[in-house]
Amino acid sequence: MRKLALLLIFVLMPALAKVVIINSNDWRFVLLSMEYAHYQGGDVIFLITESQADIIAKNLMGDDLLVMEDRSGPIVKDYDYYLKKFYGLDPEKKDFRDYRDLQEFLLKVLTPEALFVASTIEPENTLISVPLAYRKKGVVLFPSSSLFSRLPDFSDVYLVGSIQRDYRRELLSVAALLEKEVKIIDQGSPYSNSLALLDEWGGSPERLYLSTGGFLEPTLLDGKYPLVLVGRDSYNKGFIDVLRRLDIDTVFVIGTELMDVGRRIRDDSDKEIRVIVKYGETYTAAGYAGTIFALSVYRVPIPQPNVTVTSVLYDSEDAKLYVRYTNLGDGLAYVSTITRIARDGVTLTSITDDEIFLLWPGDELIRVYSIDLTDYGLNNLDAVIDARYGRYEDFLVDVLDRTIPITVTRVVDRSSISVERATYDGTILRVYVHNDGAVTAYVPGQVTLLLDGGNELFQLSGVKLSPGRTGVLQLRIRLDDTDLENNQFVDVFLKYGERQDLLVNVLKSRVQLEIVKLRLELLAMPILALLLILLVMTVVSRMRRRRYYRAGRRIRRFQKAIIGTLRRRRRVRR
Amino acid sequence: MGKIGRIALCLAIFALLVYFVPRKVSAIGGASNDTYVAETYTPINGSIDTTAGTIYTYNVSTQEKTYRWVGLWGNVTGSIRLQTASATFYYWPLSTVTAGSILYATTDATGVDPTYFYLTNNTYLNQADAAYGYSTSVLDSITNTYTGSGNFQSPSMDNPVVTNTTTVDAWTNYFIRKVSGNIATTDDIVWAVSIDPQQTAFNGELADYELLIPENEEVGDGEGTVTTYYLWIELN
Repeated sequence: MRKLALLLIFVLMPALAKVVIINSNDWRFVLLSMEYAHYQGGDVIFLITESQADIIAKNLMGDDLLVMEDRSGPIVKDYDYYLKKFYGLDPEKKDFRDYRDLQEFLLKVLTPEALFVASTIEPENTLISVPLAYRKKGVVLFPSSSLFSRLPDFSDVYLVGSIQRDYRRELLSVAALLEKEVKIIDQGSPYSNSLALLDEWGGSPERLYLSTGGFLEPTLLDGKYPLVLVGRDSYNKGFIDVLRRLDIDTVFVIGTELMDVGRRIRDDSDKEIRVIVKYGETYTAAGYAGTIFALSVYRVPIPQPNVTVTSVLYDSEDAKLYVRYTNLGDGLAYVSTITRIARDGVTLTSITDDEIFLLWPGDELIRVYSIDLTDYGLNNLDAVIDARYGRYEDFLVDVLDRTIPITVTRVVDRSSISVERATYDGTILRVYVHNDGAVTAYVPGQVTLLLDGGNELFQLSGVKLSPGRTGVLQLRIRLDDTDLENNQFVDVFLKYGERQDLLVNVLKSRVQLEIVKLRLELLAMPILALLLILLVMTVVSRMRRRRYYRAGRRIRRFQKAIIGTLRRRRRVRR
Repeated sequence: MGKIGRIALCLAIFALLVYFVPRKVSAIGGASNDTYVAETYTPINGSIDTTAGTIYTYNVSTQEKTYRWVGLWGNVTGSIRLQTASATFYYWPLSTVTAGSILYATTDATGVDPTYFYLTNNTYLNQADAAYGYSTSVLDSITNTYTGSGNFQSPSMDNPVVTNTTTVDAWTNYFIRKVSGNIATTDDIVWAVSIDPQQTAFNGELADYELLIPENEEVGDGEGTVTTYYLWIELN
């Protein structure tokens, strides 16, 4: 355990002037703390685990220590007290309720000239913004309503990546009132955004940091050079040309897992571009000296796709090849594939899928290709899948290279469906699908909507359809008038088949979106029930009042009979 | 009928109207269905880039040290794996790091840039000893260890710089200044070795490099204090 903890230690040299120790489970808190440390001139240490925090404590020295603690999720609660009690240190402590609280603190104590707003759900966009923010003496912050009132304080305002629509509109409205220009950097993927940010750098930076954007690391965020994203396995198509066009002579590749990517850049640039990889660290205390460990980083939670091929079937009667892809990761995947047909390692032919297709997390998709393999003989054929995939359509940098035997079989599917109509009632988008075939059909699907100028894909609920029946695939979504105007026709993509585990058919349909009235009839019955209750209460009330009235009359009659004429009460006027 | 009764009656009529009047559709839509098959195939042998395979051979470095030095040695030209805290390993395939690549070690977390490498001599050796807290008079001080002199030139440098060196078995180690001025802290120094594959190391085994880096564990001084070096490789 102690050995493992040692892996995570950062620079603890006695010469350090100031050390900012970040004590949080939340990457947003860590990032904001790093920004604070940058402007305070301190070195940064992340606490990652309790055991690592203990090792850190043993090796801290000096008086200029600052603990930034996240009360909502510290690694070690009251770490400053821990340092005092067990190691005799006297650190300063700044604790915050959460990252939002820290953000408000930064807005108070720092006087940044530029503001970069990036979404918390796309951490890469946050990371790529940091170097430019530092260059412009600014900060990268997360969406917050308190930023509206601070807009006049910033000379430059940037929105980077996808920002929640309502927030973006509100911020732009406020900026328009203030006649403040807001630059929107939203080119699709964080990779494209990182290139777009280079245009704001001011001339060629000549040097770049390259990384995946999946972790925080001191070098990456020192602000010396811009950060551009690469994949774990590869870099984007045309990336070398981009580097040449930008006159980049040196790239610093940060990350142990990126040695291969560095090698490729060096080779593919004909060794014109200098490649230096920060890949490891070593702790040279007694007993642990000399062992090289992977670079210590603070991981950022980014959904990762993990695409694999689970089976390849060939139906010789229909002359069709069925390749089943599955996404085992937690991030959606755009996939581009080439399938080679090989025997004993020798390629016989190849199939290029001319479309980049989408695989949702946990989903699978069967791609069907018409190809006659009988000329090659059907025995011992392999499918060699060479696929590139990624979370963004313009950033396919993960690689799948897999060889799998082709199973020759008969694939029979008699299902047939059609899309009848699509409706939207203000809350739910419905796609009506009819089963035209003679067998039950399983139908999941997706719909593409044009929102804020870009196409976005949404997963529809799946449906099982008996022969001759019509079913509804639904999506709960809020669309305003502009959205409805832009989506008079929508593209529906349906997979279907008579076997739930073998949806071999695909139907693409462009369908007019009908706008239907709100279904007020759903409110009618509760209103009627309420009214009925009101009526009953009214009647009962009247009956009770009449009863009391009659009782009063009887009492007065009895009084008259017993004591004679009632004396009238005189009002005393003052 | 009282006031409440009249309101109730109006609401009831409204609710009944809503219930019985059929809802209207403002647009009548239609659908065009196309059966879709994604396919284009090339019925000839194609040229396809494939990813290099991964070789799961273990070979990392180990150590030999005095109170003032640590020796790194190991292989990088073959496959290599590095351990992380989560007990996962990184593997590099064969030929990722080739001969002539340079391994740098520095305590500076932020970077190594060969464009800003500067010469070294005895003056800077003395400054380095001071930065590490060594007396120059001790037998294994930096001054008394990096006693040689030679040109250092990485794959990307146009011109070499004159540096102090020491030879460790088959490998020359370089003491380089990474600031233009005097050496004030250990962060101002880079220790470097050129990768020379499959040479005989101090223990008789084959290795790709050996690199001697200072570590102050003098009693009463740096003893027990962990020092972190960051390792960079400039690819040839």
